[in-house]
Amino acid sequence: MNTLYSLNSMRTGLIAVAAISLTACFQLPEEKSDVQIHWLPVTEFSDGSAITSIDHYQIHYGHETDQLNNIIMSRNPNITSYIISDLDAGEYYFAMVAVAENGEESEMSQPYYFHVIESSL
Amino acid sequence: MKFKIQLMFASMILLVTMQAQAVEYFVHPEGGDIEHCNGLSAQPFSQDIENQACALKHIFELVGPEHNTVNINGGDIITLLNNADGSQAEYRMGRHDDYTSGRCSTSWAYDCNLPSLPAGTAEKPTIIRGENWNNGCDIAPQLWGSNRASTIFSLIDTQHIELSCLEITDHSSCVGAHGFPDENLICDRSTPYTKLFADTGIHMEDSNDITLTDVTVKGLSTGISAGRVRDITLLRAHLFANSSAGWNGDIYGNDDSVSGTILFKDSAITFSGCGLVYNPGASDHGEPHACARQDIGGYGDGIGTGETGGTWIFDNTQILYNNSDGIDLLYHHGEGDIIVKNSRIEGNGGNQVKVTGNTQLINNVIISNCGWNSRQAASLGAEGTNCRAGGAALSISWAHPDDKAILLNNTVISEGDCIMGTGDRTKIGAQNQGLYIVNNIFYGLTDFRQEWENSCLLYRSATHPYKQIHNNVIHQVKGYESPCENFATNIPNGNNANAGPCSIAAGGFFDDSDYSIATNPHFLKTEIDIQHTAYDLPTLMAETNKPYPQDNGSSVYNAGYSGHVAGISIPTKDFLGNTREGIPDIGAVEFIEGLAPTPTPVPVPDTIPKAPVIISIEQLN
Repeated sequence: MNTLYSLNSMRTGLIAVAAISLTACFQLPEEKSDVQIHWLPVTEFSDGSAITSIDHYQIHYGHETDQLNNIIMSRNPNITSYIISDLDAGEYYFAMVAVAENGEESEMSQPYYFHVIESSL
Repeated sequence: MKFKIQLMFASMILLVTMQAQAVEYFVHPEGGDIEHCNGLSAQPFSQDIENQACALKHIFELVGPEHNTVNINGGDIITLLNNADGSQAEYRMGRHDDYTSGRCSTSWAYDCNLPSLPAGTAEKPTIIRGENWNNGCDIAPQLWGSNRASTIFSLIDTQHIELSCLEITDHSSCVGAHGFPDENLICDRSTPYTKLFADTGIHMEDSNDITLTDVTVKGLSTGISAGRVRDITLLRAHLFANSSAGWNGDIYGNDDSVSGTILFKDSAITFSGCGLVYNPGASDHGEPHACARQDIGGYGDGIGTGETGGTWIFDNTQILYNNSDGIDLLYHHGEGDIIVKNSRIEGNGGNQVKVTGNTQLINNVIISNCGWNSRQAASLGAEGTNCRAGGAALSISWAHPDDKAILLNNTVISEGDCIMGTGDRTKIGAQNQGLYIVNNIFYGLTDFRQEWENSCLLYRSATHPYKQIHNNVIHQVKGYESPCENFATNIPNGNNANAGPCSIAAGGFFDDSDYSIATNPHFLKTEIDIQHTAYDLPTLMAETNKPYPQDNGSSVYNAGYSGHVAGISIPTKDFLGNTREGIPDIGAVEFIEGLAPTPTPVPVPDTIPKAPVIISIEQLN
């Protein structure tokens, strides 16, 4: 166990040195991360009646709950997940809105906190 | 001896006085030739005229093409009169009637052009003007070229020239595109040179201080060709339906060396690359037709140049429906800036604005509905260009170290592959070039060529080493390069600075009435396939798209940055001339309560969908 720990530490150290050396030689691009968000499909109106079809979903996100300024509009109403690419490391809040075919839109869902950690690439 | 000296002095004084005084000559449709009239009177010729006090019948009597005869001095004025009843006079140019010898001979009738005008001075320019030049120019005398005349005005190696209140055209519907499918529409350039078309309206070469006021050049091959010129001003000028280009600055390739200031003020360049119907009495007379794409010999930049320089200013100028690029200053490698402000650039078939070097784009409405031709009547657009080279609204490149491109308060809409692209035109690499993008609306439409996705926000073939980008509304663009995450950069503190809202359309669609999208600017009118009832400038402007916020629920309302950007303050007036007060709106046009029509109230729905529930988020890398 100790040996394994030591090897891992050594490997990590070597990688770190190599990374520092590479950084000294080249301007490495910032690492970005992709996240996949999953949600439950909306099947009802707020009064409990069945909804015939959803037109699209909106994914709102940002670093503060009151500044979800980034919006992705998924035009495929049948999907229940979506990959958001190239996020910087940091704290994010995600929320969603469903829009019915007649244009009626739901309230925004409760913000979902997620911490994007530095990419392992 | 003393008398002789006195006489000599008197003659010199007379000569100096005559040279100092501009002489005004008159040309009248019923004037006489120079044998019978001296042109110093506006009276028509008649047998009763005494002392030759009558107008001349044609400008060729004063500036003759046959033997390059120039009977005026620098600083003189030629006033072309309309018909006696006030209707438009039509003066034929090129080989015709009495002008058939010398350079107007049958074999080379294309050389039957006005000789270059003698240079005036800054204080006393040489002037050719039409009646009504000082009275609103509601009816401008017409100079129409014929018999393949290569130019109407040649301004070569001259300076201090003014042309005002003139209509320059020909009497033919033909187009220059040699491969146009309807061969009857191709200009017949073969002998005998008897067809009623001409090539270039105004040719400028090695000239400076040229001013064109209330001048229309239409229906020719090229409106203006210009190279090695300095200080050119176009005021209320209109280049309309010239089938090769509106302004062709590519006459020497690498030696166009423009310098000084080229100013377009209150002017327009429309339907370059298309022909103009000449069919008096018919319903389509005077309308553009037969726009032609490049592979059939067509072209149609509003403005295109070879290697050039100088400061180019477009102020309150309309660059509309040209068949290729709107403004193409890609080869602007020399000294000087490019400034486009308070202008509308819309419906051109390639890039709307393509620039290199120091650039300021301020308060413009730029709509790259570059596939417009495809949605028009076949007689107009069937053979026209659609989204040439992708049709991005903006192409912005640098040529030198430290070049700055500044985009402030523009409204930019695109159905091209992207809304804008950036590049390193001279391949010098990144050397402190700056890109400043603040208070703009970037509105993505469905990509004309790839209908399954929207226009992307930005394609970078080179990345500016310094960027200041914030307070932009980015509406339903393609997800390419994750613009919502990566666009805003170097956001300053204060003055309402923030990243600005951004939305990505994941899948192609276009519905500008969908107010559920928080980035929607709530525009009054945006029809990419807009159909006009006529194509004259007043009609175009009355019917044009109005991407202006129509209510205070717009994403752009009071959302702009109010500080300085690269030393430039936010414009105090908007695109429409209204004053910006308080926190500025984003985009070219401010929403002002009471000025916009009251929007239709959005009905409150009885039932709304339940909110989705996010069940999990996972990081993939």
